[in-house]
Amino acid sequence: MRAYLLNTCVAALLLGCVAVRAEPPRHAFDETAFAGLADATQLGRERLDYMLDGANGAELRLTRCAQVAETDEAAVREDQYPLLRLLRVNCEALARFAMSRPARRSYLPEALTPALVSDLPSQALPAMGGQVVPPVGGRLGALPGGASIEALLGGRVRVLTRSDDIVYTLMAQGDFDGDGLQDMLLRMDWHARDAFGHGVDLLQITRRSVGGPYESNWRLSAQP
Amino acid sequence: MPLNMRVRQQVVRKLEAYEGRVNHFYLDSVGKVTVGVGHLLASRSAVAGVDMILGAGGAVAGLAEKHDEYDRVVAQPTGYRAAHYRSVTRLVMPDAEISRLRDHHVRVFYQELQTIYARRNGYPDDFDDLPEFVQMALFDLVFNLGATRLRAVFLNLDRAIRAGDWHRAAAQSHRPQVSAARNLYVRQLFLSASGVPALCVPTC
Repeated sequence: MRAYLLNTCVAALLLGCVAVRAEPPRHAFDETAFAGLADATQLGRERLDYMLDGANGAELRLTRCAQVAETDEAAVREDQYPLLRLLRVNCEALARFAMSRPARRSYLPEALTPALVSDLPSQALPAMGGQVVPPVGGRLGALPGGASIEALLGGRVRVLTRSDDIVYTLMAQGDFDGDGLQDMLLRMDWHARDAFGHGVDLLQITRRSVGGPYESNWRLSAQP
Repeated sequence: MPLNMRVRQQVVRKLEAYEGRVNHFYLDSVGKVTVGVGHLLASRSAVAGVDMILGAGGAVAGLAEKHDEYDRVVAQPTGYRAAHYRSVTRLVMPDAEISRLRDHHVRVFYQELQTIYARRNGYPDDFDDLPEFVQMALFDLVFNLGATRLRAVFLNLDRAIRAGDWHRAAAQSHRPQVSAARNLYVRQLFLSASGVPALCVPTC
């Protein structure tokens, strides 16, 4: 029993050594995750090359995030509304990254993995309205009804629940809330499995200690 | 019982507006190959269930050609409008096939709505006997949420429908992920059924 405990402690220490890296935490934005981002070399002066179908039958060319923010949803064809939302989410991620700074410490892995996503709180599921909310304290890997979690190309992770097909994409890493700890900005794209509904949201996650729980500490759709 | 013609026309019009009507493969937001009126091809093998032709007026595409088309499109980056993927496609879905798939979806959702909303389940009427505007609103909701979520997650809406309280149903129909215009449309449908003059129903 004593040997087992000792081994467990050594293993925990080793895991801790892996989790707290010697290199500075990454401060990065994945430009490939932002469809239509043509140039982000100067933060705050990004350039887009993105087309939507306008409600008036003409094409609507979007070249700046400021233009995206000013575009009324009535200006785009109804089937393009989800893409306008996607652009807004991507622009928000870029803006948050531009205002962030490198973290001093990180308890997060460097990449988005199925293991990490499996340990995300169940609040990291799509918010679709209604009155039933995910159980507090639950994790994506232990949802009632089960969830299949798999890695996709490009560092993305797919979660298939009974009702939804959800893809998590790592958009940016850094300190987004000024507490010195590494955060991750995840985009969550989802599609209902038994309907046409789909949507997108942006989540910020962090971890405050070695082996501690992953926390969702900011969410775009929860903002006023 | 066949779906009321006025309801069907409106439901089809709105579904095409929300999903678009696209005659080539493209990627949806989670990287699934899609065609027609939001018809999702859940896997590579699902191409066997859709008819495609080689360009406008061309020959019927074989399974290998449809597999190749699927492979070309699924390899593209996600996050663009359907037209973005046209340049990598070679096959076209005939108009009649787009309508056939669309009508299949409408039929499946109609059957689900008939199964849920029935007097024997505690609702004020069977689906086909509910006010037309309520039928249109429920179609919009089920298209977006699916039958399970509509009944098991939108609990306040379900209570309002069971009570035949369309005014309360209007207030409980909000979905955060759809456009303000679409939420307004459904709210107006319920309000119209409750006798409140609507702003734009059914044209909005």
